[in-house]
Amino acid sequence: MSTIHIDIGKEFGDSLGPRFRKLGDHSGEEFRDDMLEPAFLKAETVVIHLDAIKTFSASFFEEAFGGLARKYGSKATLAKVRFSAVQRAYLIPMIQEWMTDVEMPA
Amino acid sequence: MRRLTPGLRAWLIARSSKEQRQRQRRRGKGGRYGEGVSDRNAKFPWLPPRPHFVDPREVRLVGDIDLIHKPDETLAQLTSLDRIESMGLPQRVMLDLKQVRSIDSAALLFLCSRIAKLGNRPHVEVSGNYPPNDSAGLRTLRDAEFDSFLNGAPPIHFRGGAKTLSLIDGTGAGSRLVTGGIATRINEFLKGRHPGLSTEELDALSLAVTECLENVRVHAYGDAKPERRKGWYVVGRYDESSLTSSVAILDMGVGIAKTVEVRFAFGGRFKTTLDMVEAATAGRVTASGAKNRGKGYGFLRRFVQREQGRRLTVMSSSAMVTWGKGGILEKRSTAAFTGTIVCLQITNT
Repeated sequence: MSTIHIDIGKEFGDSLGPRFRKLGDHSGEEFRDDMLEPAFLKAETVVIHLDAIKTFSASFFEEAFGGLARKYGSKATLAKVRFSAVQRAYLIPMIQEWMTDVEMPA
Repeated sequence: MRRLTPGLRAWLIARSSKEQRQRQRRRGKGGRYGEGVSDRNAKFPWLPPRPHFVDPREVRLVGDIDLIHKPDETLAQLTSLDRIESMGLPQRVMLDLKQVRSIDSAALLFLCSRIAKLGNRPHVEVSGNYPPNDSAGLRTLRDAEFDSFLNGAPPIHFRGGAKTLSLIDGTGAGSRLVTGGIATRINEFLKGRHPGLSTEELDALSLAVTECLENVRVHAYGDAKPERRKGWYVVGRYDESSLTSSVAILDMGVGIAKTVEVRFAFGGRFKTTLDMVEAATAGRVTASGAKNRGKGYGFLRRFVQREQGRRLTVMSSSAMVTWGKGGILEKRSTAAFTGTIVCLQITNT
Protein backbone atom coordinates (compact mmCIF):
# COMPACT_ATOMS: atom_id res chain seq x y z
CA MET A 1 0.00 0.00 0.00
CA SER A 2 1.67 3.23 -1.14
CA THR A 3 1.65 6.35 0.98
CA ILE A 4 2.87 9.79 -0.02
CA HIS A 5 3.78 12.30 2.65
CA ILE A 6 3.57 16.01 1.85
CA ASP A 7 4.92 18.51 4.35
CA ILE A 8 3.26 21.68 3.08
CA GLY A 9 5.50 24.08 5.04
CA LYS A 10 8.73 22.47 3.85
CA GLU A 11 7.83 21.26 0.37
CA PHE A 12 5.42 23.93 -0.83
CA GLY A 13 5.91 27.10 1.21
CA ASP A 14 5.69 28.18 4.83
CA SER A 15 3.56 31.26 4.08
CA LEU A 16 0.54 29.93 2.28
CA GLY A 17 -1.11 32.23 -0.19
CA PRO A 18 -4.62 33.00 -1.44
CA ARG A 19 -7.26 30.80 -3.05
CA PHE A 20 -6.42 31.15 -6.73
CA ARG A 21 -3.21 31.26 -8.75
CA LYS A 22 -4.17 34.59 -10.28
CA LEU A 23 -4.29 36.18 -6.82
CA GLY A 24 -0.73 35.38 -5.84
CA ASP A 25 2.00 32.84 -5.17
CA HIS A 26 1.59 29.66 -3.14
CA SER A 27 -2.13 29.55 -3.75
CA GLY A 28 -4.49 26.74 -2.82
CA GLU A 29 -5.21 26.11 -6.49
CA GLU A 30 -1.49 25.79 -7.21
CA PHE A 31 -0.96 23.35 -4.36
CA ARG A 32 -3.95 21.23 -5.37
CA ASP A 33 -3.04 21.07 -9.06
CA ASP A 34 0.71 20.66 -8.72
CA MET A 35 1.13 18.53 -5.61
CA LEU A 36 -2.03 17.23 -4.01
CA GLU A 37 -3.95 15.90 -7.00
CA PRO A 38 -0.98 14.07 -8.58
CA ALA A 39 -0.25 12.46 -5.20
CA PHE A 40 -3.93 11.67 -4.72
CA LEU A 41 -4.08 9.89 -8.07
CA LYS A 42 -0.79 8.07 -7.57
CA ALA A 43 -0.91 6.82 -4.01
CA GLU A 44 -3.45 5.03 -1.92
CA THR A 45 -2.98 7.36 1.00
CA VAL A 46 -1.74 10.94 1.11
CA VAL A 47 -0.57 12.28 4.47
CA ILE A 48 -0.44 16.05 4.80
CA HIS A 49 1.83 17.50 7.49
CA LEU A 50 0.72 20.89 8.78
CA ASP A 51 3.13 21.88 11.55
CA ALA A 52 5.84 23.59 9.47
CA ILE A 53 3.47 26.25 8.16
CA LYS A 54 4.02 29.81 9.40
CA THR A 55 0.93 31.57 8.08
CA PHE A 56 -2.06 30.42 6.09
CA SER A 57 -5.43 31.56 4.83
CA ALA A 58 -8.64 29.62 5.20
CA SER A 59 -9.29 29.98 1.50
CA PHE A 60 -6.02 28.20 0.73
CA PHE A 61 -7.20 25.05 2.54
CA GLU A 62 -10.73 25.32 1.23
CA GLU A 63 -9.56 25.57 -2.35
CA ALA A 64 -6.94 22.84 -2.03
CA PHE A 65 -8.85 20.21 -0.08
CA GLY A 66 -12.43 21.37 -0.65
CA GLY A 67 -11.59 21.70 -4.33
CA LEU A 68 -10.28 18.14 -4.43
CA ALA A 69 -13.42 16.93 -2.66
CA ARG A 70 -15.58 18.77 -5.17
CA LYS A 71 -13.81 16.95 -7.99
CA TYR A 72 -13.53 13.43 -6.59
CA GLY A 73 -16.27 13.41 -3.95
CA SER A 74 -16.05 13.98 -0.21
CA LYS A 75 -16.12 10.34 0.78
CA ALA A 76 -13.30 9.22 -1.50
CA THR A 77 -11.17 12.23 -0.64
CA LEU A 78 -11.62 11.93 3.11
CA ALA A 79 -10.79 8.24 2.93
CA LYS A 80 -7.56 8.87 1.08
CA VAL A 81 -6.24 12.18 2.44
CA ARG A 82 -5.03 12.14 6.05
CA PHE A 83 -3.57 14.90 8.14
CA SER A 84 -0.75 14.97 10.64
CA ALA A 85 -0.15 17.80 13.11
CA VAL A 86 0.79 18.30 16.74
CA GLN A 87 0.79 22.06 17.21
CA ARG A 88 -1.90 22.61 14.61
CA ALA A 89 -4.10 19.66 15.45
CA TYR A 90 -6.99 22.11 15.79
CA LEU A 91 -6.90 22.65 12.02
CA ILE A 92 -7.62 19.04 11.11
CA PRO A 93 -11.35 18.83 11.99
CA MET A 94 -11.89 22.20 10.38
CA ILE A 95 -10.32 21.18 7.08
CA GLN A 96 -12.15 17.88 7.14
CA GLU A 97 -15.40 19.73 7.71
CA TRP A 98 -14.70 21.91 4.68
CA MET A 99 -14.04 18.74 2.67
CA THR A 100 -17.34 17.25 3.81
CA ASP A 101 -19.33 20.44 3.35
CA VAL A 102 -18.79 20.83 -0.37
CA GLU A 103 -21.28 21.44 -3.11
CA MET A 104 -20.74 19.00 -5.93
CA PRO A 105 -20.84 20.59 -9.37
CA ALA A 106 -24.09 19.90 -11.23
CA MET B 1 6.74 97.68 -17.78
CA ARG B 2 3.55 96.55 -19.39
CA ARG B 3 0.43 98.11 -17.91
CA LEU B 4 -1.75 95.61 -16.09
CA THR B 5 -5.34 96.26 -17.08
CA PRO B 6 -8.16 94.57 -15.18
CA GLY B 7 -8.90 92.41 -18.20
CA LEU B 8 -5.29 91.31 -18.62
CA ARG B 9 -5.02 90.63 -14.91
CA ALA B 10 -8.13 88.41 -14.98
CA TRP B 11 -6.77 86.58 -18.02
CA LEU B 12 -3.41 86.01 -16.34
CA ILE B 13 -5.05 84.65 -13.20
CA ALA B 14 -7.26 82.33 -15.24
CA ARG B 15 -4.29 81.12 -17.29
CA SER B 16 -2.14 80.47 -14.24
CA SER B 17 -4.92 78.46 -12.60
CA LYS B 18 -5.46 76.48 -15.80
CA GLU B 19 -1.76 75.73 -16.15
CA GLN B 20 -1.61 74.66 -12.55
CA ARG B 21 -4.52 72.27 -13.01
CA GLN B 22 -2.96 70.85 -16.17
CA ARG B 23 0.34 70.34 -14.40
CA GLN B 24 -1.38 68.50 -11.59
CA ARG B 25 -3.29 66.31 -14.01
CA ARG B 26 -0.08 65.43 -15.85
CA ARG B 27 1.58 64.41 -12.63
CA GLY B 28 -1.37 62.23 -11.73
CA LYS B 29 -1.72 63.87 -8.37
CA GLY B 30 -1.29 67.24 -6.84
CA GLY B 31 1.96 68.77 -5.67
CA ARG B 32 2.91 69.24 -2.09
CA TYR B 33 1.55 72.01 0.02
CA GLY B 34 2.61 75.45 -1.18
CA GLU B 35 4.43 74.17 -4.26
CA GLY B 36 1.93 75.54 -6.73
CA VAL B 37 1.71 78.80 -4.83
CA SER B 38 5.47 79.32 -4.93
CA ASP B 39 5.54 78.52 -8.66
CA ARG B 40 2.78 80.98 -9.34
CA ASN B 41 4.27 83.74 -7.24
CA ALA B 42 7.64 83.36 -8.98
CA LYS B 43 6.08 83.27 -12.43
CA PHE B 44 3.88 86.34 -12.01
CA PRO B 45 5.84 88.72 -9.78
CA TRP B 46 3.71 91.71 -10.81
CA LEU B 47 0.60 90.12 -9.36
CA PRO B 48 -0.12 90.42 -5.65
CA PRO B 49 1.50 87.37 -4.00
CA ARG B 50 -0.92 84.66 -3.07
CA PRO B 51 -0.74 83.69 0.60
CA HIS B 52 0.73 80.29 1.38
CA PHE B 53 -2.26 79.20 3.36
CA VAL B 54 -5.62 80.34 4.47
CA ASP B 55 -6.50 80.20 8.17
CA PRO B 56 -5.24 76.91 9.61
CA ARG B 57 -7.91 74.39 10.43
CA GLU B 58 -7.39 72.99 13.87
CA VAL B 59 -8.61 69.53 14.79
CA ARG B 60 -8.35 68.72 18.44
CA LEU B 61 -8.74 65.18 19.74
CA VAL B 62 -9.36 64.68 23.44
CA GLY B 63 -9.65 61.88 25.99
CA ASP B 64 -9.60 58.17 25.22
CA ILE B 65 -9.68 57.64 21.47
CA ASP B 66 -11.16 54.16 21.51
CA LEU B 67 -12.96 53.11 18.35
CA ILE B 68 -13.83 49.63 19.56
CA HIS B 69 -15.32 50.45 22.95
CA LYS B 70 -16.53 54.01 22.37
CA PRO B 71 -17.33 54.11 18.65
CA ASP B 72 -19.81 56.98 18.71
CA GLU B 73 -17.69 59.48 20.62
CA THR B 74 -14.52 58.44 18.81
CA LEU B 75 -16.04 58.58 15.33
CA ALA B 76 -17.49 61.99 16.13
CA GLN B 77 -13.93 63.18 16.73
CA LEU B 78 -12.14 61.28 13.99
CA THR B 79 -14.58 61.93 11.16
CA SER B 80 -13.95 65.67 11.60
CA LEU B 81 -10.82 64.97 9.53
CA ASP B 82 -13.00 63.62 6.71
CA ARG B 83 -14.96 66.85 6.61
CA ILE B 84 -12.00 69.10 5.88
CA GLU B 85 -12.30 70.51 2.40
CA SER B 86 -9.57 72.79 1.14
CA MET B 87 -11.73 74.11 -1.75
CA GLY B 88 -8.61 74.24 -3.88
CA LEU B 89 -6.94 76.79 -1.63
CA PRO B 90 -3.72 76.11 0.22
CA GLN B 91 -4.74 74.72 3.57
CA ARG B 92 -2.90 73.97 6.73
CA VAL B 93 -4.42 71.43 9.10
CA MET B 94 -3.22 71.42 12.68
CA LEU B 95 -3.84 68.24 14.60
CA ASP B 96 -3.79 68.82 18.33
CA LEU B 97 -3.30 65.61 20.30
CA LYS B 98 -2.18 67.19 23.56
CA GLN B 99 -5.27 66.10 25.40
CA VAL B 100 -5.34 62.51 24.18
CA ARG B 101 -5.07 60.03 27.06
CA SER B 102 -4.98 56.82 25.03
CA ILE B 103 -5.63 55.56 21.54
CA ASP B 104 -6.59 52.05 20.43
CA SER B 105 -5.30 50.18 17.37
CA ALA B 106 -8.34 50.76 15.21
CA ALA B 107 -8.43 54.49 15.97
CA LEU B 108 -4.71 54.73 15.30
CA LEU B 109 -5.17 53.26 11.83
CA PHE B 110 -8.12 55.54 11.21
CA LEU B 111 -6.03 58.53 12.16
CA CYS B 112 -3.06 57.43 10.03
CA SER B 113 -5.25 56.87 6.99
CA ARG B 114 -6.95 60.25 7.30
CA ILE B 115 -3.70 62.13 7.82
CA ALA B 116 -2.20 60.40 4.77
CA LYS B 117 -5.33 61.15 2.75
CA LEU B 118 -5.29 64.82 3.70
CA GLY B 119 -1.55 65.11 3.15
CA ASN B 120 -1.87 63.67 -0.35
CA ARG B 121 -4.17 66.46 -1.43
CA PRO B 122 -2.58 69.29 -3.37
CA HIS B 123 -1.74 72.30 -1.22
CA VAL B 124 -2.71 70.68 2.06
CA GLU B 125 -0.17 70.45 4.82
CA VAL B 126 -0.88 68.47 7.95
CA SER B 127 1.04 69.11 11.10
CA GLY B 128 0.40 68.35 14.71
CA ASN B 129 1.70 67.89 18.17
CA TYR B 130 1.38 65.82 21.27
CA PRO B 131 3.03 66.28 24.63
CA PRO B 132 6.21 64.35 25.42
CA ASN B 133 4.93 62.54 28.49
CA ASP B 134 4.87 58.80 28.90
CA SER B 135 1.20 57.95 29.13
CA ALA B 136 0.15 54.74 27.42
CA GLY B 137 -1.75 56.48 24.66
CA LEU B 138 1.07 58.79 23.71
CA ARG B 139 3.69 56.06 23.87
CA THR B 140 1.57 54.38 21.20
CA LEU B 141 1.79 57.46 19.04
CA ARG B 142 5.54 57.58 19.39
CA ASP B 143 5.86 53.87 18.67
CA ALA B 144 3.82 54.40 15.54
CA GLU B 145 6.37 57.03 14.54
CA PHE B 146 3.59 59.51 14.48
CA ASP B 147 6.03 62.35 14.06
CA SER B 148 6.73 60.96 10.61
CA PHE B 149 3.04 60.91 9.80
CA LEU B 150 2.69 64.46 10.92
CA ASN B 151 5.68 65.46 8.82
CA GLY B 152 4.21 63.84 5.72
CA ALA B 153 6.54 60.82 5.66
CA PRO B 154 4.59 57.82 6.91
CA PRO B 155 6.76 54.91 8.05
CA ILE B 156 6.80 52.01 5.65
CA HIS B 157 7.20 48.58 7.13
CA PHE B 158 8.14 50.01 10.48
CA ARG B 159 9.06 47.36 13.01
CA GLY B 160 9.19 48.06 16.69
CA GLY B 161 12.24 46.97 18.66
CA ALA B 162 11.29 47.07 22.30
CA LYS B 163 8.16 48.85 21.27
CA THR B 164 4.52 48.10 21.64
CA LEU B 165 3.28 47.96 18.11
CA SER B 166 4.20 47.15 14.53
CA LEU B 167 2.53 49.27 11.89
CA ILE B 168 2.56 48.47 8.19
CA ASP B 169 1.46 51.07 5.69
CA GLY B 170 0.19 49.52 2.47
CA THR B 171 -0.96 52.72 0.84
CA GLY B 172 2.14 52.87 -1.34
CA ALA B 173 1.64 49.31 -2.46
CA GLY B 174 -2.01 49.90 -3.37
CA SER B 175 -3.92 46.72 -2.83
CA ARG B 176 -1.83 44.61 -5.18
CA LEU B 177 0.94 43.64 -2.83
CA VAL B 178 -0.77 41.35 -0.40
CA THR B 179 1.34 38.43 0.68
CA GLY B 180 1.64 36.11 3.59
CA GLY B 181 4.84 37.96 4.45
CA ILE B 182 2.87 40.74 6.11
CA ALA B 183 1.03 38.32 8.38
CA THR B 184 4.35 36.63 9.19
CA ARG B 185 5.88 39.96 10.15
CA ILE B 186 3.00 40.84 12.48
CA ASN B 187 3.03 37.30 13.85
CA GLU B 188 6.74 37.43 14.69
CA PHE B 189 6.36 40.84 16.27
CA LEU B 190 3.57 39.71 18.59
CA LYS B 191 5.33 36.45 19.39
CA GLY B 192 8.38 38.47 20.43
CA ARG B 193 6.29 40.73 22.66
CA HIS B 194 4.26 37.92 24.21
CA PRO B 195 5.96 34.50 24.00
CA GLY B 196 3.04 32.93 25.91
CA LEU B 197 0.69 33.12 22.93
CA SER B 198 -0.30 29.64 21.74
CA THR B 199 0.10 28.49 18.14
CA GLU B 200 -3.63 28.69 17.64
CA GLU B 201 -3.76 32.25 18.99
CA LEU B 202 -0.88 33.34 16.78
CA ASP B 203 -2.51 31.60 13.82
CA ALA B 204 -5.76 33.45 14.47
CA LEU B 205 -3.98 36.80 14.61
CA SER B 206 -2.12 36.18 11.37
CA LEU B 207 -5.21 34.68 9.74
CA ALA B 208 -7.13 37.87 10.52
CA VAL B 209 -4.42 39.78 8.65
CA THR B 210 -4.29 37.47 5.61
CA GLU B 211 -8.07 37.15 5.28
CA CYS B 212 -8.68 40.87 5.60
CA LEU B 213 -5.92 41.75 3.15
CA GLU B 214 -7.34 39.27 0.68
CA ASN B 215 -10.74 40.90 1.09
CA VAL B 216 -9.09 44.27 0.49
CA ARG B 217 -7.56 43.04 -2.71
CA VAL B 218 -10.62 41.27 -4.05
CA HIS B 219 -13.53 43.36 -2.75
CA ALA B 220 -12.64 46.66 -1.10
CA TYR B 221 -11.90 48.71 -4.18
CA GLY B 222 -14.17 46.90 -6.61
CA ASP B 223 -13.19 47.60 -10.19
CA ALA B 224 -11.36 50.82 -9.34
CA LYS B 225 -8.20 51.53 -11.29
CA PRO B 226 -4.97 50.86 -9.37
CA GLU B 227 -4.28 54.58 -8.91
CA ARG B 228 -7.69 55.04 -7.29
CA ARG B 229 -7.03 52.29 -4.77
CA LYS B 230 -6.12 53.81 -1.48
CA GLY B 231 -4.40 50.82 0.04
CA TRP B 232 -4.56 49.57 3.59
CA TYR B 233 -2.96 49.72 7.02
CA VAL B 234 -2.19 46.89 9.39
CA VAL B 235 -1.11 47.15 12.99
CA GLY B 236 -0.11 44.48 15.50
CA ARG B 237 -0.03 45.61 19.09
CA TYR B 238 0.68 44.24 22.52
CA ASP B 239 -0.60 46.03 25.60
CA GLU B 240 1.42 44.91 28.61
CA SER B 241 -0.93 46.38 31.18
CA SER B 242 -3.94 44.38 30.00
CA LEU B 243 -1.99 41.45 28.46
CA THR B 244 -3.88 42.06 25.24
CA SER B 245 -2.50 41.18 21.83
CA SER B 246 -4.37 42.63 18.91
CA VAL B 247 -4.28 43.16 15.20
CA ALA B 248 -6.29 45.72 13.28
CA ILE B 249 -6.65 46.07 9.55
CA LEU B 250 -8.10 49.09 7.79
CA ASP B 251 -8.95 49.84 4.19
CA MET B 252 -10.64 52.86 2.63
CA GLY B 253 -12.77 50.90 0.19
CA VAL B 254 -16.48 50.56 -0.49
CA GLY B 255 -17.41 48.67 2.68
CA ILE B 256 -19.02 45.30 3.30
CA ALA B 257 -22.63 46.34 2.65
CA LYS B 258 -21.78 47.69 -0.77
CA THR B 259 -19.95 44.47 -1.61
CA VAL B 260 -22.83 42.15 -0.74
CA GLU B 261 -25.80 44.38 -1.55
CA VAL B 262 -25.40 43.75 -5.29
CA ARG B 263 -26.66 40.24 -4.72
CA PHE B 264 -29.66 41.35 -2.68
CA ALA B 265 -30.54 44.61 -4.35
CA PHE B 266 -33.88 43.31 -5.59
CA GLY B 267 -34.62 40.74 -2.93
CA GLY B 268 -35.16 43.09 -0.02
CA ARG B 269 -33.65 40.51 2.30
CA PHE B 270 -31.85 43.07 4.46
CA LYS B 271 -33.48 46.19 5.73
CA THR B 272 -30.38 47.98 7.02
CA THR B 273 -26.66 47.96 6.43
CA LEU B 274 -26.30 46.70 10.01
CA ASP B 275 -28.26 43.58 9.02
CA MET B 276 -25.98 43.13 6.02
CA VAL B 277 -22.76 43.49 7.99
CA GLU B 278 -24.07 41.15 10.68
CA ALA B 279 -25.01 38.54 8.07
CA ALA B 280 -21.65 38.89 6.33
CA THR B 281 -19.68 38.43 9.57
CA ALA B 282 -21.92 35.50 10.50
CA GLY B 283 -21.07 33.84 7.19
CA ARG B 284 -24.69 33.91 5.97
CA VAL B 285 -23.83 35.96 2.90
CA THR B 286 -20.72 36.29 0.76
CA ALA B 287 -19.90 38.58 -2.12
CA SER B 288 -20.04 35.78 -4.66
CA GLY B 289 -22.87 33.89 -3.00
CA ALA B 290 -20.82 30.66 -3.16
CA LYS B 291 -21.10 28.39 -0.15
CA ASN B 292 -17.39 27.65 -0.08
CA ARG B 293 -16.42 31.30 0.54
CA GLY B 294 -16.12 33.26 3.76
CA LYS B 295 -14.31 30.48 5.64
CA GLY B 296 -11.80 32.90 7.12
CA TYR B 297 -14.38 34.88 9.06
CA GLY B 298 -15.92 31.55 10.07
CA PHE B 299 -12.59 30.43 11.52
CA LEU B 300 -12.16 33.70 13.46
CA ARG B 301 -15.76 33.67 14.66
CA ARG B 302 -15.41 30.21 16.08
CA PHE B 303 -12.08 31.10 17.63
CA VAL B 304 -13.49 34.05 19.59
CA GLN B 305 -16.70 32.26 20.50
CA ARG B 306 -14.88 29.48 22.32
CA GLU B 307 -13.19 31.44 25.12
CA GLN B 308 -13.50 34.56 27.20
CA GLY B 309 -11.16 37.45 26.47
CA ARG B 310 -11.34 37.18 22.68
CA ARG B 311 -13.13 39.75 20.56
CA LEU B 312 -13.58 40.17 16.84
CA THR B 313 -14.89 43.58 15.84
CA VAL B 314 -15.88 44.54 12.32
CA MET B 315 -16.75 48.14 11.48
CA SER B 316 -17.99 48.94 8.01
CA SER B 317 -20.81 50.66 6.14
CA SER B 318 -22.03 52.61 9.21
CA ALA B 319 -22.31 49.44 11.26
CA MET B 320 -20.29 47.71 13.93
CA VAL B 321 -20.55 44.07 15.00
CA THR B 322 -18.49 42.52 17.80
CA TRP B 323 -18.22 38.77 18.25
CA GLY B 324 -17.02 37.15 21.45
CA LYS B 325 -17.68 34.20 23.70
CA GLY B 326 -21.07 32.76 22.91
CA GLY B 327 -21.83 34.86 19.83
CA ILE B 328 -22.50 38.50 19.06
CA LEU B 329 -21.57 40.70 22.03
CA GLU B 330 -22.63 43.97 20.51
CA LYS B 331 -24.03 45.37 17.30
CA ARG B 332 -24.89 48.95 16.53
CA SER B 333 -25.20 51.52 13.82
CA THR B 334 -22.43 54.10 13.73
CA ALA B 335 -21.64 57.36 12.03
CA ALA B 336 -20.83 57.01 8.35
CA PHE B 337 -17.18 56.61 7.40
CA THR B 338 -15.30 55.29 4.41
CA GLY B 339 -13.81 51.83 4.51
CA THR B 340 -13.69 48.79 6.74
CA ILE B 341 -11.87 48.14 10.00
CA VAL B 342 -11.41 44.66 11.46
CA CYS B 343 -9.86 44.19 14.89
CA LEU B 344 -9.06 40.92 16.66
CA GLN B 345 -8.13 41.15 20.34
CA ILE B 346 -6.87 38.34 22.56
CA THR B 347 -6.54 38.95 26.28
CA ASN B 348 -4.57 36.36 28.25
CA THR B 349 -5.47 36.21 31.91
